[in-house]
Amino acid sequence: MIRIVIIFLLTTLIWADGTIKVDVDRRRINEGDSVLLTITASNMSEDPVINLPKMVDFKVVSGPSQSSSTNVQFINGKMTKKNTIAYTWTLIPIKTGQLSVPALKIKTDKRFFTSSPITIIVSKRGPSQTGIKPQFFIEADVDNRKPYRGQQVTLSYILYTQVDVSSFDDELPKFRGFWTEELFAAKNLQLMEVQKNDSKYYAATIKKMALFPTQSGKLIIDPLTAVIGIRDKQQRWNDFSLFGPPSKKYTIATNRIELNVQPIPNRTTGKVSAIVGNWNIRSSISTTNLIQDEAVTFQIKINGTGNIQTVDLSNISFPNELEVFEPKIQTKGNPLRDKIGGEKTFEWVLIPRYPGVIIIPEFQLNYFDTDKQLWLTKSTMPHRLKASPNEKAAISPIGLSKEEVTLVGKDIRFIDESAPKWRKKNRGLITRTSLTLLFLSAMIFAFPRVHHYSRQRMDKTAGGRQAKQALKFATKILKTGSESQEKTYTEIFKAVTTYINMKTGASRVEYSTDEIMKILGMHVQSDKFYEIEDILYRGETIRFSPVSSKGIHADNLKVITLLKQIDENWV
Amino acid sequence: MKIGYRIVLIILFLSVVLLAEQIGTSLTYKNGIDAYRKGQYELAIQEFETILSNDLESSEIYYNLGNAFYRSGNIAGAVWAYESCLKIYPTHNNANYNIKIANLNVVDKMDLPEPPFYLKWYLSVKKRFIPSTWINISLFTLLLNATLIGIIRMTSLSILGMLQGIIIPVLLGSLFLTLHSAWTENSYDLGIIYATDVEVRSEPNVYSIRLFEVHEGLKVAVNQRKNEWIEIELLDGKTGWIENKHIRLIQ
Repeated sequence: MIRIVIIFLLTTLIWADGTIKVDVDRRRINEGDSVLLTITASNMSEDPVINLPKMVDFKVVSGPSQSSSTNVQFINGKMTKKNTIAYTWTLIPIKTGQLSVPALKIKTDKRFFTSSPITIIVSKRGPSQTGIKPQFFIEADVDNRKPYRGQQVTLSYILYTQVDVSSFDDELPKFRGFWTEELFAAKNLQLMEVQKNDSKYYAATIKKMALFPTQSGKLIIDPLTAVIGIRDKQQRWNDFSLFGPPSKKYTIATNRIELNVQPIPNRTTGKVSAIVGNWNIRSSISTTNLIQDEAVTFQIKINGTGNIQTVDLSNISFPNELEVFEPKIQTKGNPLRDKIGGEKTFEWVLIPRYPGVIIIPEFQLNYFDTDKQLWLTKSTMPHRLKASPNEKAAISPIGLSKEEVTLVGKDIRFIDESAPKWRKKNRGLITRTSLTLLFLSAMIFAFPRVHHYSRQRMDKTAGGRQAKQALKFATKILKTGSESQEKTYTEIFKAVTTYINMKTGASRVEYSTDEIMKILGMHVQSDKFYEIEDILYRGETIRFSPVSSKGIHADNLKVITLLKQIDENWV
Repeated sequence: MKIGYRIVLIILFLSVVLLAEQIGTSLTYKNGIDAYRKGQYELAIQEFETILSNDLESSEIYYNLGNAFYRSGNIAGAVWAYESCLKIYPTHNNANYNIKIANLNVVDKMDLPEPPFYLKWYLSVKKRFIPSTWINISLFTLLLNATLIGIIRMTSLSILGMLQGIIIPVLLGSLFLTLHSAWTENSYDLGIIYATDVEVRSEPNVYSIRLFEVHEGLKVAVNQRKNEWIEIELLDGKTGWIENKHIRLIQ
């Protein structure tokens, strides 16, 4: 009694104008039962601001629900008015033992108030349970607490009640670490009488779930929470309601379950998969004798128990001779059984693109059998397709030409080991060969014109060139020399005649001395040439009436010198 | 004397450098061939790519690189190398054969209608030679024609006139093929899709609409470039933008 008074004092905060009260409806509960945490503010000028602290021992299932009331009293003609506002949360304990609702910090009327922690004792449910036995509760149970990863665990939720249940609304937890599928959900409660914890209850399965652990190790199944409506007993004969007796709502939760998931053992052959359960595999083909490019249906059926979603064969390889289309996958479950499973059908459309015998090999299914605790391999039968050639096929529908089809399955040719002819990258279009050919073409095109032009030019300048060569020819004649006087002067005459012929362009055989002098007089602007006249006259004399002369060599040399002087002054 | 001595030294130095470069290239090429023979295809690819990065090329190196890419499972690389080989040596029989084998592994296939026989014949003639060879053929025909004209002027043989009647159409034909070939060569670049799956977009950014998808080994034409993006055109006329890291241009 004293303790209650102390707690009341601690949890009731009083100040000048109003009060704040923090309390729970029960301080001793059973596992799975809920408590209501209520904060009541009386005579406050403004609404309190409440921040719930992190609950370590409890899960907040619902709230806050708000209610307010005003009480006006007249005593001795004096009016007193009392305003009350209440906030309520529903808490579910997440473990058993002595639990605590932590201290709450509340702000109102610009002031802060801190409540004291509240202790709640939570008893474990079961045969050894002490204290008040619950009138209703839900229990969660699994069929296997040490499953293999991927093995089905069946989770059942059973409601036990000794009272009249008017409604039931559950909220499933998040099954972290599991792939789940609902097996059963009760539409109406089918209650059966059972003995539980040495008491008589009415029990009904409210839900069944198939859980497949997706990881190994310790996994927790969180409690399911439910709001249950309990019909009140009719107190008086005149309590009549059109809708039946009133019912009260309670929030309850199941126990937490801990699973120790075992990893799937390794297989020495290395042929493993993610498939767990008990499975069978078989294959069938629509026909084995067909024409090239004709479609055939190939089916693989896998049936058994286990997580059928993990069964996959869509990526298996067929022989290259077959064109394979995306498979059609159909799954049929087993709705009336507690064990998840069923049949999965993979259907491929295959088109043989080459004639001949094509073998569809056996396909293997590797899975872990949890009953035998062994890795097992089951296989389909191989199928032998006989495709006769399709003569009409010029180009195959998959875009391979006839030539390409002949190349399928062939290998590339070997590398070229000859010495490479290196060249610079990105070289221009014009190569040295191009330039040579261009030059030669130009030359050949130009040759006739050049030849014609040069010939004309040669003809034009022939006189000039002859005149330039005149002295050279004349000197050459004179330098041949001779021992006889007659021959020497004949040579002198020949040299002078040649010189004049080449200089003037004439072609006479001989000139007289007078004619020579006349020509020289016309073309030579010097007196030097007169000295040649004496030599020529002497020559005429000796040639036609031979007389002795001692100066023939001197005359020869003199003519060479004189011709040089004449050539220099020739105009 | 001093200047002459210096010039000789420079010539000698340049000759040694050129010789060393040639020896180095030959050695790298030999290493590539040896690696291929030993089945070390990645090493062979590395050696051949080193030579190509030094601005040298030959039909042999592209062909062997194609084989090394094919053996290492890089189909896009193989198609690129064989295409590069055929670009400089269009009648390379082995490269023509191997590219057909490599193309069997290319996912994207274009089924285009067969062109009329005359166009098919014309294109096959044009494809037989690279543009520079067409230029040489034209110039050689021109040379023949010039020689013939020269001989006709000098000899006036009537049979040569008939011969000229044959050579002039050949010359005009080869000139047309030369111009067409050179125009084709310079009007657009070609490239090979170098990534497994590439999304082709309507604009040169990742936020634009995804038009279609192309796969490794597909030969495409390059229409234009913008920053890191390239506009490609498929054989069937479809166009779109891809990031330039997904394509390797045929040199």
